[in-house]
Amino acid sequence: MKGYMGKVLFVDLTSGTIFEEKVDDKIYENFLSGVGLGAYILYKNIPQGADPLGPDNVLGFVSGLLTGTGSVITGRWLAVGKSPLTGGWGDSNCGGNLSPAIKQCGYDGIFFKGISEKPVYLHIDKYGPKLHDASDLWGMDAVETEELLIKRHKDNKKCAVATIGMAAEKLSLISGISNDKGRMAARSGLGAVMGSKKLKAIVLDGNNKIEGYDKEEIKRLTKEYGEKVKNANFPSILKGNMLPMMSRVMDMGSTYSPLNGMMSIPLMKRWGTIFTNTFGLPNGDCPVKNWDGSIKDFSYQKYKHMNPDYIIRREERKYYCYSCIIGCGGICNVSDVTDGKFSHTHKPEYETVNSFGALLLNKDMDSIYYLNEIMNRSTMDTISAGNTISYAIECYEKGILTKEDTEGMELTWGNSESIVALAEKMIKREGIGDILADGVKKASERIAKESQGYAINAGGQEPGMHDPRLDPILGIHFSADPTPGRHTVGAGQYYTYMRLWEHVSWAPKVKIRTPKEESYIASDEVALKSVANSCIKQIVDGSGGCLFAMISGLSNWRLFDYLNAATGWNLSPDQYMAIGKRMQTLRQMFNIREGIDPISFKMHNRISGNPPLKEGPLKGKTIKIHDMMKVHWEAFGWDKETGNPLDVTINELMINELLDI
Amino acid sequence: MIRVKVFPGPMIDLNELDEDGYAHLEENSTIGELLKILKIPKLLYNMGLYTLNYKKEPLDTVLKDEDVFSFISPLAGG
Repeated sequence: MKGYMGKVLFVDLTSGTIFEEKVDDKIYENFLSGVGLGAYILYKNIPQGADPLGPDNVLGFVSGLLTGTGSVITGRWLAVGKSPLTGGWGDSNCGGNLSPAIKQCGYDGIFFKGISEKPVYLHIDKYGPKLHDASDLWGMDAVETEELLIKRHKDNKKCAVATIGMAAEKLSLISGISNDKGRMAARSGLGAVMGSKKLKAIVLDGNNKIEGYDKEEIKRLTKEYGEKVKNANFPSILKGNMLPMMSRVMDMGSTYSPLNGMMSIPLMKRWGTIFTNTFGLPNGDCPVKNWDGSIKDFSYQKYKHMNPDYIIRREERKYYCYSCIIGCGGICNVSDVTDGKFSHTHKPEYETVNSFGALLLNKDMDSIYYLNEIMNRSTMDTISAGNTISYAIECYEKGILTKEDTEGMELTWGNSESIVALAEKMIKREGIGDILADGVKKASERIAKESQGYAINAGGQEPGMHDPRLDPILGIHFSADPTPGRHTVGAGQYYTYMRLWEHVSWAPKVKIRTPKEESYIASDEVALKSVANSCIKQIVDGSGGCLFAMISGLSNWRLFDYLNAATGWNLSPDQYMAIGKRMQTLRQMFNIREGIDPISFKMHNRISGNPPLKEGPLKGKTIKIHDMMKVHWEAFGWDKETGNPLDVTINELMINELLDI
Repeated sequence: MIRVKVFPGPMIDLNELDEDGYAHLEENSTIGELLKILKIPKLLYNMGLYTLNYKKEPLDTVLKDEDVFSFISPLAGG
């Protein structure tokens, strides 16, 4: 009774063999569950040099250590595997209801190797795991597939389903995996790995009990945090159209101070992530015009259409991921904007709105609802697709792509009709869409070398919709992490909100009136902050935790105490951070083994401000990103020039010993 | 004297806080008096942009030593 189930399931799709494997306690004690368990299993089971889309790659679905224990906001799962997009470690994080379902089937993770001859899906119920023919499902979208499988396997109680749509079946390297009818584990291109294995879906219907060590303490922690969340409400007098003004006011001055992350919860409760649609433009957080523009190119007259209040008017119901008490999700009625094709769509996340909005100078919110739904159904990553379309538009505007290449489409900024048409072609891999369906890096290699200046990526992964020129520590995580281009790993702002220094002895304290310019310096202090971000995020991803709970502050959402209560380990925050360091180092070791040069993950010059923007709130901002990567790696105990984990660090973390290599 | 931990928002006079973010106040000071010391525009007093110990409290609430006073502070989301 330590929160985890103590075993994993392996499915060999080539032979059809299914077997369980017990996992020793010491693995959980050193890697937690979730992404840490995934890294341990994959490092041992994927042979060096495996083709990400070949039979040797292993695709895993992992739950979190805290999932199902009575803790809150700990219901996220991850897909893990070798990424076909970066060639290195891949993982992708998602909410919904799949994470507890994995554990209810009796496992902390379900891992697939091999390639099936024909499409199959895995079903697990009280009679055990079984592979079924999925030929009839191949070609169906993710929503249709999930609805059909739920109906087929359970009439009165919902089972949990993860599935892929057309983009993943067609091996788009920017495709992901869906659950809960369109919630996506979108990053790292793991949808293509699932497609390559001819694995259409997993259907989980177990009823195993999940138990933690000290249920009363878990209950107490949940109650304490629950009270805070319940009381965190945004005054009704404040409306969505005031967010740009709030942004300007918050951004005033040349210093910043520690904030209470709990105070971000009211915005998440009211709107979800879409409050950033308009809040992030005046301060430069939202990238505009393929990361080369600013609010000057996408003025209030255009971005006012993304006002979160307008989107909320369409929200017919809010929903909560498993064990969530914030509830940032929602279902919107879009029957009037899609020619009746779709009646509803998930409330689009900010990432989606900006990827298809300001990034493309597209003010047509109706087109964004439509794009949101077709991306979810086809399981294509909206961040990567938006970045790729924005690259294509810039190529077209600069004459690198012609009307002949686009088959007559006028691929101009803000042309929503062309944007939708191109997205549909990418999903179907038709014409120019086939060239673009694998993301910007591949597209630029296929189209023309000179277009690489517009192919914004980090190590092949298109970056999330937050600008590192505003928050340089975000740039470190975009560039120096084993999974590059991620906005969810860490940022200076996240660090300020989490207040890790109240728990972790070596985490630098953010002082009142800290000069903003200090974040742009490759200093030891900045490096310790980014290392702390990386470590805590690994712990969160090993626990099934959510980024938004993490940012509400570790003194509020008490992750370390939750882990001790669930496991009985009684470890200190410093000891947990060492586990996070081990998890991160193992992911980096995976990349090194696969021949990745960590320097090659350095984010695109444009987004480090080389050259700097000429106007807007980020005018003149440049980040010395290479220097910042070096100090980050050095502080991690990795070689500061190459990013390779040093032997002394690997030994100190006992990684080889634990992996038995 | 009492000290109250303040998590600042915009338009706060940070000079009134010590290095650790505490405001030092006379015994029996109220939220209204704290807002005045922090030089928050009066127009914003009743907008409910703050919490005391993670609860909404009226302006005449008397503060205690080690209370936590926080302003709403948006962050970038994913």
